Amino acid sequence: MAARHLFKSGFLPKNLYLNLAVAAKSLGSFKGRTFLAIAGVVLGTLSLITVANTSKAMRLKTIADLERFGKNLLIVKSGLMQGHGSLVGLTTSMKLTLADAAAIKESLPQVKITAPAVTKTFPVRYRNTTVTGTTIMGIPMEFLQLKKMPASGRGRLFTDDDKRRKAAIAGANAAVKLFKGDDPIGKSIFVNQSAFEVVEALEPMAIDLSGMNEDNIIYVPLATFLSRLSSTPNTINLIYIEAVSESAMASLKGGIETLLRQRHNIKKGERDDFSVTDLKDVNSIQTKTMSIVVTLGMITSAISFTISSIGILSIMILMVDERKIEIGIRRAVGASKQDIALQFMTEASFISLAGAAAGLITGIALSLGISWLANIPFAVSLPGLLISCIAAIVTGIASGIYPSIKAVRIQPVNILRS
Amino acid sequence: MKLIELRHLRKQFIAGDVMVDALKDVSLTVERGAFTAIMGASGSGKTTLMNIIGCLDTPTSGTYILNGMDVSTMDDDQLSAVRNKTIGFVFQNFFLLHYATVLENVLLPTLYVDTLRHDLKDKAMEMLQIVGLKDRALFKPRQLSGGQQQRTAIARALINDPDLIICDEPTGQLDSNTASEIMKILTKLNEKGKTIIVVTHDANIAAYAGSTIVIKDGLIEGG
Repeated sequence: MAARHLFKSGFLPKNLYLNLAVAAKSLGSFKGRTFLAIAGVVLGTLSLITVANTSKAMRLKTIADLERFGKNLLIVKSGLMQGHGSLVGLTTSMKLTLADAAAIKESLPQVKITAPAVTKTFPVRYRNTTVTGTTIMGIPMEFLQLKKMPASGRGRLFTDDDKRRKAAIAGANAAVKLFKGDDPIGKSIFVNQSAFEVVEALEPMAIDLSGMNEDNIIYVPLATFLSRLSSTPNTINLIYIEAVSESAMASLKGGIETLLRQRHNIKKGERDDFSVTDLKDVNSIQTKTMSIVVTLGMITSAISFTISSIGILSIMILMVDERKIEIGIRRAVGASKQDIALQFMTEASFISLAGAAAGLITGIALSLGISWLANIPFAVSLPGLLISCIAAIVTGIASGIYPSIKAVRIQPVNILRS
Repeated sequence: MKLIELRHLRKQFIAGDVMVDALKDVSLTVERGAFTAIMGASGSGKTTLMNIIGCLDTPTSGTYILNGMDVSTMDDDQLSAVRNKTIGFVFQNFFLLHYATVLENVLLPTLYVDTLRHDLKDKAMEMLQIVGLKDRALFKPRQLSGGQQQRTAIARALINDPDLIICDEPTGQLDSNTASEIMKILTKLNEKGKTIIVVTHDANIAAYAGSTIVIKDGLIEGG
């Protein structure tokens, strides 16, 4: 019986087309209300898809970041810190020294590699182009062991011979800003009146877990930086440390903190003038932040779907009321109660699915925009797509039930009185 | 051959606290191919009679045999199927879907047919040809005159090849020239073998019919 009615109601392709055409046309005569009802579904789908896509992209990005840095990496940064795990300094001081880095390496057995580094912003000039506020980072050769640099392959990364040379490796954005399409490799750039030769340009890396947009950085050898670009040749602001193993990380962190407090004469009760961060901590904080965003997005979309389901419900009730004669005439020409119910269910689902389609497209566009602005990869979350489609269908069906019952109760005899 | 046979049909309504006998013991037969008018004043029971003959309503008691089937014992779904296959309706107010084209309006009854046909559009165009509206197929009802709208309704009534066409005051909204055009179309359909019942209070319209049944106070006069 049910199957027969599905057939009867025009769920065969040919009649389905006619039913949808009729649904679209009848909705067209209630444009404003239909638009509002659809807008809810659009918003619901949009937020669900955007959140799902963005969180997937963030996950991919985090994995990529952790892969680029060695696994067992700690970063010591100078300056008072905002809080645990944060790499955003409240004050930027230059209290770390090369001697601190050397002491860490000598006195702590858990250390495998140390790489002291220093950053500072300078105006950088190439021919007639000057880019102000470019971050120059002085790195020792060991840094290249800690971190995989995505070299273009057309030039070369630093070798031991470069230690004291005025050589530079340009981050992707920095190269674009400065060279505007010229090939940077082999060109001279001027930093603080010194000419540096660009030996390699990097592929884009995006923002790393420590919060720096590495693509804007120009790398130079540490010794060159300290002698040419710094007035205090022993002062640095970063120490990258790789532990011998993952299990040594916790004790190494404690060891570094104790050692540096001692060396910096920090008394009991005083705050550290440095911070030691495990990138995994940053990762877990980002994951937590992301899960809050995901939860908020889910709530937003649940609310939107609920509101739109009420919206569709109200527009469908209005439509049933204003189309009593149509229902009567359809019954008169042979529509059964099930046919009428299915018609209004189809229309409710049609509103909902139209909204879902619009939400899908705008959601994917928005995730693309976010990935471009935030410099994270673009990813489409399949579960996100699936859940939003199901949510839209459920919304359509749920909001179509009551109007359908209302429509079915209409007796043609009472309506078709001349 | 009988198309319609009513035996001792009664219909009671409850209007407020009062039981109203809309039809009291009505028996009649309509032969296949007949053109019958049902006349009566308002409140006479003629609308109730038409609703029952049209399978839009069921009698309180009595038997109704339509096309050899006892429809008085059928449930709502079965009656819907009978209306779809056996009966075409033409109403005083046309009752077209204003947002659909003439062609789509004509196709409306085919949405509720069990079997799928692929030549429905041709068939609908054929029906529009019969009523002389082939060139208006893609118009909206509001772009048509009253007479054209009623001719669209007739084409809609014909699309599923019904045995019976029931017209409820088909010319009530039309001027006399247009009314006679509509009646001529109905006459032509009757000549081609359709059984036609016209419900009216207008003697000029009833005059097109071969026989007239007059109903008064729920009873057939002289019956």
